[in-house]
Amino acid sequence: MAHAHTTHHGHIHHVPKETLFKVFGALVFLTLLTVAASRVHLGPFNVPVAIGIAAVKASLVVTFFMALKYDNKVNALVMMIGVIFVGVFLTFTLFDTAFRGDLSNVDPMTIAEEQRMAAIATGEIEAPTGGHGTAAETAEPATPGGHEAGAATMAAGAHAEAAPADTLDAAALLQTYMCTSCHAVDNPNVMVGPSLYDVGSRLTPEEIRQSILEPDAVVAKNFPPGVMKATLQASGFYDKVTPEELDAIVNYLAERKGN
Amino acid sequence: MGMWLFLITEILLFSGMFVAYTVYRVWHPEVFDMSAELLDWRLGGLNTLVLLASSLTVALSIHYIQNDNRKGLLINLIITLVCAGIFMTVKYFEYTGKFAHGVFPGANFAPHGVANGHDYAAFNVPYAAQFFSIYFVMTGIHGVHVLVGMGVFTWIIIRARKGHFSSEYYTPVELTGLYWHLVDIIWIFLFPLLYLI
Repeated sequence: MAHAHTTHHGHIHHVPKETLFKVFGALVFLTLLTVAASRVHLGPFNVPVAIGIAAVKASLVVTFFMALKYDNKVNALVMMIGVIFVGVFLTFTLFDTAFRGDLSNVDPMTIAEEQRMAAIATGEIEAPTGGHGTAAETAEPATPGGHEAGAATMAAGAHAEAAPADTLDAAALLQTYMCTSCHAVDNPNVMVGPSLYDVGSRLTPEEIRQSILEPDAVVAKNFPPGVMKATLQASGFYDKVTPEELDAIVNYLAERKGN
Repeated sequence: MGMWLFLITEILLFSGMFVAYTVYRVWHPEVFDMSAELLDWRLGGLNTLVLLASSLTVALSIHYIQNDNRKGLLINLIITLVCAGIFMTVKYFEYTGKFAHGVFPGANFAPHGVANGHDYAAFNVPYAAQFFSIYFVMTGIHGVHVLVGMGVFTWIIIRARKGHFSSEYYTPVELTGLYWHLVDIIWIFLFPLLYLI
């Protein structure tokens, strides 16, 4: 690298001293100009003016101080490609970041979910009983109040006496994390997702855990992949759930073997 | 050619930070507008002129050695090193001035006190910490480049004193000069973006 230059000694680029001083004078002038311009309120033009002056200064340095004007044109090409890629980097990043939120008017439900909800509404699929996970409840965020109400409902539910004593908490967790918005726990009804009524007889505890942590690793037959993962991600489940809570949920679900 | 490729990698290194700056500025323009007031444009402007002068002396030093003027080379290299020293000294006072008022990067951001007519506590608004984190990271990495440049120039000056360079061979001077001009160019953009707008 260091000796590349010695190969073209035949045409050394002498930049005249006067040119160097003139360029320096121009750079000092442009520095004062950009300071002065920033003192004046130009509305939306302050930023482009400042960046424009900086770009002119940088071009002067590259062209004359770095002598790119007199140098091998391949070096100029390398420099330009680099600058273009900086432009690509900046532009494409801004395509993302500057327009976030503009797309928030999309429907939170997938088409498959909407169809299933419509089918429930028209009676094609029997609406789940027991008060858990109706269409109306799906739209409601989990609240501390809802959490306690859910726990109370579960405690009073038909399965409360069948479940081990320490599953009360897990049942409440299923409410808190809105699992019950898409999965029936107390009955075999199919909602957005399969019923968990008998999941303990279908899956091992390890498989249940995997189904929660990696919903798309194995997807139940006739159910669309991606829905559960997207929903859990959107609700912040993966950020909030603790290992103890996860254990409680898995143990609880492993006990669900139907009747 | 190899040196220019290296310079491109340097540009791309800084471009990541420039993109971070741009993204946060687009999101919170008013906070960046306000936070820039805390940076003294006079000190930033002084440092800009100091670096521009050092770029001139580097270009002059190459001009002189092309004409076999070893004294001109040496004097201009020494002026360049002194300019770099002035730059870092000013930067040191800027940093300590900010630290004294709790303006730290990251989670330790807790501005307080009054200086230069600014009530620092008034700058404790959301995303001001991001501005100053970006400021410290960008100027910090730029400062590291200045320090590296000072080290290389010291080595070049020692070699120039020993008479290693002539119009036949001055490649190390030229490549160090290219690096130094790039450091100058980065600052040409940092100054208006951080101090002025």
